[in-house]
Amino acid sequence: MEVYTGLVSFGWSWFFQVANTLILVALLFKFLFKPVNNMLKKRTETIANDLSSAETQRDEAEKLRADYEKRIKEIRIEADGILKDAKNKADDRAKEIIQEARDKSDDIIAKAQVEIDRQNRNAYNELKNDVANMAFMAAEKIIGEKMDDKLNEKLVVKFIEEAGDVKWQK
Amino acid sequence: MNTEFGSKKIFEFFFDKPIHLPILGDQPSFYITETVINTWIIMILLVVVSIILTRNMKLVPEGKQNVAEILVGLLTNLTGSSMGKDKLGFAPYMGTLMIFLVCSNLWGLTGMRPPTADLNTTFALSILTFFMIHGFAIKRKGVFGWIKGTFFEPVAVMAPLNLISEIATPVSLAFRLFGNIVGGMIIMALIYNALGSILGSVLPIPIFMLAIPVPLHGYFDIFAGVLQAFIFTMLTMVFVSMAMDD
Repeated sequence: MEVYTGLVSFGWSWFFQVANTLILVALLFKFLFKPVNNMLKKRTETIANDLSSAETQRDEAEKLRADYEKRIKEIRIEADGILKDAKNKADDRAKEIIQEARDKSDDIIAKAQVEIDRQNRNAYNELKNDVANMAFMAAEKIIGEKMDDKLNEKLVVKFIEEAGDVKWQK
Repeated sequence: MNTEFGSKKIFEFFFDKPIHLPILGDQPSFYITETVINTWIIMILLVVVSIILTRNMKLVPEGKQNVAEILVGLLTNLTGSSMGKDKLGFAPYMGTLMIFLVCSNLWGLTGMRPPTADLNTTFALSILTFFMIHGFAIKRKGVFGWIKGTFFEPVAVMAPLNLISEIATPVSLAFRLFGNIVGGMIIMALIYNALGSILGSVLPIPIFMLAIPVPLHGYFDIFAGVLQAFIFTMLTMVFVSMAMDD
């Protein structure tokens, strides 16, 4: 025979249900709420850590970038300086070389001029002597006698010199 | 057909001398009812499901872990929004209450007796609520603060009415839930009886029982069950937080 409690009646079940409720709360706390909340907390911490470390890394990267940029700028300035120096040096050297060449050429021209002058003078002197001799010989022929060498020669040379210095110059 | 609507006694032991319990009177026998057995089944189910859901939890959630997290998140948020952020410690109790009540109220769908269709269950829960209301009020405000806040507000002459109101709280909580669930259970039993008796002597199989009760189950078991679980939990949260705050 099945025995029923009354529809609206209290019995032993009440104690069981109080105990069951408390036990269920404890069990679900242990097996559902605690693990899930721990996991959520862990995730929050992990995300916060990741974010902060990402920020740190970003700051570091930014610092490195600024550092490199600065260094590149410095290197560029240095390179510019080196280039400018090299250019200046090359310019100077070129000027020097040109100057040397010019000096050398001037020197050569001057030397050549001196040589020409010397040659000119030699030629002139030779010609003068030749002319004097010829004039002397011609005069001997005309007079027919031997001239007093010393006196006459002096005369001729003087004449030639007086006439020639102006005319031969041209 | 079960026309006896009380809870069935499954195990019963008789004693020579009645056991005297202050609130129950003399008990001639010790018994375990269907209600208690069904509650144990629900408890085992809930614990097993919890263990399965929270096993191998990973930092990056996938599959069943999402279900556990969404469930706990929903219950925690509900507690936080109805009780205030400072009382989130109540979330495990309130969440368990909600889960247990939803499962108990839907238990009728299995064909077994819902544990909440028993005054003992609903009174067990409402008495726990009652002790929580006053216990946490005393803990928060002290004995004098609790007496003043509970009985002498807004004026001292209201004390008798306040006393009745405080006693009425667990009674109304328990009977609201019990009435809804047991009412649904009785109506469903009557409907099944009626459907089975239509042409009962002619048809070998009671075919009218086949699809007709479905919308009624939808209303009496699912709609009313979930609604009453929500109401009971919300009222518990509101009463406890009100008693602590004012």
